[in-house]
Amino acid sequence: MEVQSYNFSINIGEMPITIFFDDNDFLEVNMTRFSNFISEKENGSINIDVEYIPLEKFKLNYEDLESPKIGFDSSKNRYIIYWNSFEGTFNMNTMIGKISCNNHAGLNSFIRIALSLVLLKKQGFLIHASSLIRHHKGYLFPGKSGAGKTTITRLTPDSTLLSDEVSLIKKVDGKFRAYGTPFWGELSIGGENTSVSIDDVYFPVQDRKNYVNSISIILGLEKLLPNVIFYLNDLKLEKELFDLCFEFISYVSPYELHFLPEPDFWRFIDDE
Amino acid sequence: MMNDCIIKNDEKIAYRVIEDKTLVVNLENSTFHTLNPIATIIWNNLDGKTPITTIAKNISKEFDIDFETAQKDCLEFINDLIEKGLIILCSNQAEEIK
Repeated sequence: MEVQSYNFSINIGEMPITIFFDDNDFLEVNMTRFSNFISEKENGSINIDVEYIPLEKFKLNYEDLESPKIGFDSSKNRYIIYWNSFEGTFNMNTMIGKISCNNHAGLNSFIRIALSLVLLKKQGFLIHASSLIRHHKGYLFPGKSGAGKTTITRLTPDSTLLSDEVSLIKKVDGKFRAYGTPFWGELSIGGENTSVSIDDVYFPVQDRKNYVNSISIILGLEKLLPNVIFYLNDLKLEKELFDLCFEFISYVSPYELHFLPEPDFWRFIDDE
Repeated sequence: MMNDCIIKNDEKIAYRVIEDKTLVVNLENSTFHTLNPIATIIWNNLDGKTPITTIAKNISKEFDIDFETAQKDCLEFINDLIEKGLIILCSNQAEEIK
Protein backbone atom coordinates (compact mmCIF):
# COMPACT_ATOMS: atom_id res chain seq x y z
CA MET A 1 0.00 0.00 0.00
CA GLU A 2 1.39 3.38 -0.94
CA VAL A 3 1.87 5.75 1.98
CA GLN A 4 0.71 9.24 1.25
CA SER A 5 3.28 11.94 1.95
CA TYR A 6 2.69 15.55 2.88
CA ASN A 7 5.46 18.07 3.19
CA PHE A 8 6.43 21.64 3.82
CA SER A 9 9.75 23.47 3.84
CA ILE A 10 11.29 25.73 6.42
CA ASN A 11 14.40 27.83 6.36
CA ILE A 12 16.48 28.23 9.52
CA GLY A 13 19.74 30.17 9.37
CA GLU A 14 19.63 30.16 5.57
CA MET A 15 19.43 26.38 5.57
CA PRO A 16 16.38 25.03 3.78
CA ILE A 17 14.82 21.96 5.37
CA THR A 18 12.01 19.99 3.80
CA ILE A 19 9.98 17.85 6.16
CA PHE A 20 7.86 14.97 4.86
CA PHE A 21 5.01 13.59 6.94
CA ASP A 22 2.92 10.47 6.64
CA ASP A 23 0.16 12.12 8.68
CA ASN A 24 -1.51 15.34 7.56
CA ASP A 25 -2.75 16.28 11.04
CA PHE A 26 0.76 16.04 12.41
CA LEU A 27 1.99 18.15 9.50
CA GLU A 28 -0.49 20.87 10.39
CA VAL A 29 0.57 20.89 14.05
CA ASN A 30 4.16 21.38 12.99
CA MET A 31 3.36 23.95 10.30
CA THR A 32 1.79 26.09 13.00
CA ARG A 33 4.79 25.76 15.29
CA PHE A 34 7.26 26.56 12.51
CA SER A 35 5.02 29.20 10.90
CA ASN A 36 7.59 32.03 10.96
CA PHE A 37 10.07 29.84 9.14
CA ILE A 38 7.92 28.38 6.36
CA SER A 39 9.74 28.70 3.07
CA GLU A 40 8.40 28.74 -0.47
CA LYS A 41 11.35 26.70 -1.67
CA GLU A 42 10.36 23.05 -1.87
CA ASN A 43 13.73 21.35 -2.16
CA GLY A 44 15.54 21.48 1.13
CA SER A 45 19.25 20.92 1.46
CA ILE A 46 18.19 18.86 4.47
CA ASN A 47 15.30 16.41 4.05
CA ILE A 48 13.56 14.80 6.97
CA ASP A 49 11.03 11.97 6.78
CA VAL A 50 8.71 11.94 9.76
CA GLU A 51 6.83 8.81 10.72
CA TYR A 52 4.03 9.64 13.09
CA ILE A 53 3.48 6.98 15.71
CA PRO A 54 0.40 7.46 17.91
CA LEU A 55 1.19 7.66 21.59
CA GLU A 56 -0.59 4.39 22.41
CA LYS A 57 1.62 2.57 19.90
CA PHE A 58 4.79 4.35 20.86
CA LYS A 59 6.92 1.87 22.76
CA LEU A 60 10.09 3.87 23.18
CA ASN A 61 10.69 5.37 26.56
CA TYR A 62 13.85 7.37 26.87
CA GLU A 63 12.45 10.03 29.11
CA ASP A 64 15.14 9.55 31.70
CA LEU A 65 17.84 10.76 29.34
CA GLU A 66 19.22 14.21 30.13
CA SER A 67 20.80 14.46 26.71
CA PRO A 68 20.31 12.61 23.45
CA LYS A 69 22.15 9.42 22.68
CA ILE A 70 23.99 9.58 19.38
CA GLY A 71 25.75 6.63 17.81
CA PHE A 72 27.27 6.16 14.39
CA ASP A 73 26.23 3.36 12.06
CA SER A 74 29.28 3.10 9.78
CA SER A 75 27.64 0.51 7.50
CA LYS A 76 25.01 3.07 6.49
CA ASN A 77 27.12 6.14 7.17
CA ARG A 78 24.54 7.74 9.42
CA TYR A 79 24.06 8.86 12.96
CA ILE A 80 21.49 7.07 15.07
CA ILE A 81 19.85 9.46 17.47
CA TYR A 82 17.33 8.90 20.22
CA TRP A 83 16.05 11.02 23.02
CA ASN A 84 12.86 11.40 25.04
CA SER A 85 9.98 10.32 22.75
CA PHE A 86 11.76 10.08 19.41
CA GLU A 87 14.31 8.07 17.55
CA GLY A 88 15.84 8.77 14.20
CA THR A 89 18.81 8.68 11.88
CA PHE A 90 20.72 11.38 10.07
CA ASN A 91 23.11 10.93 7.18
CA MET A 92 25.57 13.82 6.88
CA ASN A 93 26.46 12.97 3.27
CA THR A 94 22.95 12.77 1.86
CA MET A 95 21.57 15.18 4.48
CA ILE A 96 18.60 12.88 4.86
CA GLY A 97 17.04 12.36 8.26
CA LYS A 98 14.39 9.90 9.37
CA ILE A 99 12.51 10.17 12.61
CA SER A 100 9.71 8.35 14.42
CA CYS A 101 7.87 10.46 16.93
CA ASN A 102 4.44 11.55 18.08
CA ASN A 103 4.82 15.16 19.13
CA HIS A 104 6.31 18.41 17.97
CA ALA A 105 8.93 18.41 20.73
CA GLY A 106 10.49 15.25 19.32
CA LEU A 107 10.76 16.67 15.81
CA ASN A 108 11.98 19.99 17.19
CA SER A 109 14.77 18.27 19.14
CA PHE A 110 15.74 16.16 16.15
CA ILE A 111 16.04 19.24 13.93
CA ARG A 112 18.16 20.98 16.57
CA ILE A 113 20.52 18.01 16.75
CA ALA A 114 20.77 17.72 12.95
CA LEU A 115 21.37 21.45 12.66
CA SER A 116 24.11 21.38 15.29
CA LEU A 117 25.94 18.80 13.17
CA VAL A 118 25.40 20.54 9.82
CA LEU A 119 26.10 24.04 11.11
CA LEU A 120 29.65 23.27 12.19
CA LYS A 121 30.56 22.59 8.57
CA LYS A 122 29.16 26.00 7.74
CA GLN A 123 31.05 27.84 10.48
CA GLY A 124 28.04 28.01 12.75
CA PHE A 125 26.63 26.72 15.99
CA LEU A 126 23.51 26.69 18.14
CA ILE A 127 23.66 28.18 21.60
CA HIS A 128 21.42 28.44 24.64
CA ALA A 129 20.91 32.17 24.34
CA SER A 130 18.22 34.69 23.76
CA SER A 131 18.86 37.08 20.92
CA LEU A 132 17.08 40.11 19.56
CA ILE A 133 17.39 43.16 17.36
CA ARG A 134 16.90 46.50 19.05
CA HIS A 135 17.37 49.81 17.29
CA HIS A 136 18.94 47.95 14.35
CA LYS A 137 21.59 46.36 16.58
CA GLY A 138 21.95 42.68 17.46
CA TYR A 139 22.25 41.41 21.03
CA LEU A 140 23.03 37.92 22.31
CA PHE A 141 22.38 36.81 25.91
CA PRO A 142 23.76 33.30 26.51
CA GLY A 143 22.77 31.38 29.62
CA LYS A 144 21.33 28.17 30.95
CA SER A 145 17.79 27.82 32.25
CA GLY A 146 17.03 30.41 34.89
CA ALA A 147 19.76 32.83 33.79
CA GLY A 148 17.21 35.36 32.61
CA LYS A 149 17.14 34.83 28.85
CA THR A 150 13.36 34.98 28.55
CA THR A 151 13.08 37.76 31.14
CA ILE A 152 15.35 39.95 29.04
CA THR A 153 13.25 39.42 25.93
CA ARG A 154 10.03 40.10 27.89
CA LEU A 155 11.50 43.36 29.12
CA THR A 156 12.38 44.46 25.59
CA PRO A 157 9.11 44.89 23.73
CA ASP A 158 10.58 47.42 21.28
CA SER A 159 12.65 44.73 19.60
CA THR A 160 12.61 41.97 16.99
CA LEU A 161 12.85 38.61 18.70
CA LEU A 162 15.27 36.09 17.23
CA SER A 163 14.82 33.57 20.04
CA ASP A 164 14.29 33.50 23.79
CA GLU A 165 15.95 30.09 24.12
CA VAL A 166 18.20 28.80 21.31
CA SER A 167 20.02 31.16 18.98
CA LEU A 168 21.86 30.32 15.80
CA ILE A 169 25.25 31.94 15.20
CA LYS A 170 27.00 31.73 11.86
CA LYS A 171 30.10 33.29 10.39
CA VAL A 172 29.21 35.00 7.13
CA ASP A 173 31.76 36.94 5.08
CA GLY A 174 34.10 37.15 8.05
CA LYS A 175 31.45 38.49 10.41
CA PHE A 176 29.28 36.69 12.93
CA ARG A 177 25.52 36.90 12.59
CA ALA A 178 22.67 35.73 14.82
CA TYR A 179 19.68 34.15 13.07
CA GLY A 180 16.18 33.74 14.32
CA THR A 181 15.09 30.22 15.24
CA PRO A 182 11.74 28.53 15.92
CA PHE A 183 13.20 27.05 19.12
CA TRP A 184 11.49 28.80 21.97
CA GLY A 185 11.61 28.76 25.75
CA GLU A 186 9.19 30.11 28.35
CA LEU A 187 8.04 32.83 25.98
CA SER A 188 6.38 30.19 23.76
CA ILE A 189 6.86 32.41 20.73
CA GLY A 190 9.16 31.56 17.85
CA GLY A 191 11.66 34.12 16.66
CA GLU A 192 11.47 36.09 13.45
CA ASN A 193 13.17 34.62 10.40
CA THR A 194 15.78 37.33 10.04
CA SER A 195 19.38 37.90 11.04
CA VAL A 196 21.65 40.55 12.44
CA SER A 197 25.35 41.14 12.94
CA ILE A 198 26.44 40.48 16.51
CA ASP A 199 29.06 42.79 17.97
CA ASP A 200 28.42 42.46 21.69
CA VAL A 201 27.57 39.46 23.87
CA TYR A 202 26.02 39.94 27.30
CA PHE A 203 26.09 37.10 29.83
CA PRO A 204 23.11 37.73 32.14
CA VAL A 205 23.62 37.68 35.90
CA GLN A 206 20.52 38.34 38.02
CA ASP A 207 21.56 40.84 40.66
CA ARG A 208 20.26 43.53 43.02
CA LYS A 209 21.35 46.38 40.79
CA ASN A 210 21.90 47.01 37.12
CA TYR A 211 25.39 47.32 35.72
CA VAL A 212 27.51 46.09 32.84
CA ASN A 213 31.12 45.10 33.04
CA SER A 214 33.50 44.14 30.31
CA ILE A 215 35.06 40.71 30.72
CA SER A 216 38.18 39.13 29.27
CA ILE A 217 38.13 36.94 26.20
CA ILE A 218 39.18 33.99 28.32
CA LEU A 219 36.32 34.49 30.79
CA GLY A 220 33.97 35.08 27.88
CA LEU A 221 35.03 31.81 26.31
CA GLU A 222 34.62 30.00 29.64
CA LYS A 223 31.11 31.41 29.95
CA LEU A 224 30.20 30.79 26.31
CA LEU A 225 31.25 27.16 25.91
CA PRO A 226 28.83 25.50 28.39
CA ASN A 227 25.95 27.10 26.51
CA VAL A 228 26.96 25.88 23.07
CA ILE A 229 24.76 23.03 21.87
CA PHE A 230 26.65 20.04 20.55
CA TYR A 231 25.74 16.55 21.64
CA LEU A 232 28.11 14.43 19.58
CA ASN A 233 31.13 12.88 21.31
CA ASP A 234 33.64 13.43 18.54
CA LEU A 235 36.92 14.98 19.69
CA LYS A 236 37.86 16.25 16.22
CA LEU A 237 34.55 18.05 15.74
CA GLU A 238 34.57 19.30 19.33
CA LYS A 239 37.97 20.89 18.70
CA GLU A 240 36.64 22.53 15.54
CA LEU A 241 33.76 23.90 17.56
CA PHE A 242 36.11 25.12 20.30
CA ASP A 243 38.17 26.99 17.67
CA LEU A 244 35.04 28.53 16.16
CA CYS A 245 33.80 29.64 19.59
CA PHE A 246 37.18 31.20 20.33
CA GLU A 247 37.00 33.05 17.02
CA PHE A 248 33.49 34.23 17.87
CA ILE A 249 34.27 35.48 21.37
CA SER A 250 37.42 37.19 20.09
CA TYR A 251 35.34 38.91 17.39
CA VAL A 252 32.66 40.26 19.73
CA SER A 253 32.97 42.28 22.90
CA PRO A 254 31.94 40.09 25.86
CA TYR A 255 30.22 41.62 28.90
CA GLU A 256 28.47 40.51 32.06
CA LEU A 257 25.04 42.07 32.37
CA HIS A 258 24.05 42.32 36.04
CA PHE A 259 20.39 43.14 36.03
CA LEU A 260 17.15 43.53 37.90
CA PRO A 261 13.95 42.35 36.19
CA GLU A 262 13.09 45.83 34.92
CA PRO A 263 13.68 47.47 31.53
CA ASP A 264 16.08 50.01 33.01
CA PHE A 265 18.99 47.61 32.47
CA TRP A 266 19.02 48.72 28.82
CA ARG A 267 20.29 52.13 29.89
CA PHE A 268 23.49 50.46 31.10
CA ILE A 269 23.88 48.50 27.88
CA ASP A 270 23.29 51.62 25.82
CA ASP A 271 26.01 53.43 27.76
CA GLU A 272 28.62 50.86 26.71
CA MET B 1 61.19 12.73 38.23
CA MET B 2 62.51 16.22 37.89
CA ASN B 3 64.25 15.18 34.68
CA ASP B 4 61.04 13.87 33.12
CA CYS B 5 59.32 15.79 30.36
CA ILE B 6 55.62 16.39 29.93
CA ILE B 7 53.40 16.62 26.89
CA LYS B 8 49.95 18.05 26.57
CA ASN B 9 47.22 15.45 26.12
CA ASP B 10 46.36 16.88 22.72
CA GLU B 11 43.95 14.10 21.80
CA LYS B 12 41.61 14.95 24.63
CA ILE B 13 41.99 18.67 25.17
CA ALA B 14 41.50 21.99 23.45
CA TYR B 15 43.16 25.12 24.76
CA ARG B 16 43.88 28.74 24.03
CA VAL B 17 46.58 30.94 25.52
CA ILE B 18 45.21 34.48 25.65
CA GLU B 19 47.61 37.14 26.85
CA ASP B 20 48.98 35.74 30.12
CA LYS B 21 46.21 33.23 30.87
CA THR B 22 45.13 29.91 29.39
CA LEU B 23 41.80 28.19 29.09
CA VAL B 24 42.07 24.41 28.87
CA VAL B 25 39.04 22.26 28.12
CA ASN B 26 39.01 18.54 28.76
CA LEU B 27 36.77 17.48 25.89
CA GLU B 28 36.11 14.06 27.39
CA ASN B 29 34.29 15.41 30.41
CA SER B 30 33.65 19.04 29.34
CA THR B 31 35.54 20.52 32.26
CA PHE B 32 37.20 23.92 32.04
CA HIS B 33 40.44 25.01 33.64
CA THR B 34 41.71 28.58 33.60
CA LEU B 35 45.44 28.86 34.22
CA ASN B 36 46.93 31.95 35.85
CA PRO B 37 50.07 33.67 34.46
CA ILE B 38 52.56 31.42 36.31
CA ALA B 39 50.62 28.28 35.38
CA THR B 40 50.52 29.53 31.79
CA ILE B 41 54.32 29.78 31.67
CA ILE B 42 54.56 26.21 32.94
CA TRP B 43 51.89 25.15 30.44
CA ASN B 44 53.80 26.75 27.56
CA ASN B 45 56.88 24.77 28.54
CA LEU B 46 55.10 21.41 28.48
CA ASP B 47 56.51 20.59 25.07
CA GLY B 48 57.80 17.06 25.61
CA LYS B 49 61.39 18.32 25.56
CA THR B 50 61.82 20.61 28.55
CA PRO B 51 62.51 18.78 31.83
CA ILE B 52 60.51 19.80 34.88
CA THR B 53 63.68 20.98 36.56
CA THR B 54 64.33 23.46 33.73
CA ILE B 55 60.75 24.75 33.95
CA ALA B 56 61.21 25.26 37.72
CA LYS B 57 64.47 27.17 37.11
CA ASN B 58 62.74 29.40 34.57
CA ILE B 59 59.88 30.13 37.00
CA SER B 60 62.36 30.81 39.80
CA LYS B 61 64.22 33.33 37.62
CA GLU B 62 61.15 34.94 36.04
CA PHE B 63 59.26 35.53 39.30
CA ASP B 64 62.25 35.95 41.61
CA ILE B 65 61.35 33.08 43.92
CA ASP B 66 63.69 30.47 45.34
CA PHE B 67 64.20 27.33 43.30
CA GLU B 68 62.82 24.96 45.97
CA THR B 69 59.52 26.83 46.10
CA ALA B 70 59.31 26.99 42.30
CA GLN B 71 60.04 23.28 42.08
CA LYS B 72 57.40 22.42 44.69
CA ASP B 73 54.80 24.59 42.95
CA CYS B 74 55.66 23.10 39.56
CA LEU B 75 55.30 19.56 40.82
CA GLU B 76 51.99 20.27 42.53
CA PHE B 77 50.63 21.91 39.42
CA ILE B 78 51.86 19.18 37.09
CA ASN B 79 50.50 16.48 39.38
CA ASP B 80 47.13 18.22 39.33
CA LEU B 81 47.13 18.40 35.53
CA ILE B 82 48.03 14.72 35.25
CA GLU B 83 45.16 13.82 37.59
CA LYS B 84 42.82 15.89 35.42
CA GLY B 85 44.01 14.10 32.30
CA LEU B 86 45.29 17.26 30.65
CA ILE B 87 48.94 16.23 30.33
CA ILE B 88 51.02 13.06 30.08
CA LEU B 89 54.41 12.23 31.56
CA CYS B 90 56.98 11.38 28.86
CA SER B 91 58.49 8.74 31.07
CA ASN B 92 58.47 4.98 30.98
CA GLN B 93 57.63 5.22 34.65
CA ALA B 94 54.58 7.46 34.44
CA GLU B 95 53.81 7.13 38.08
CA GLU B 96 52.49 9.83 40.31
CA ILE B 97 55.06 12.53 40.98
CA LYS B 98 56.04 12.56 44.59
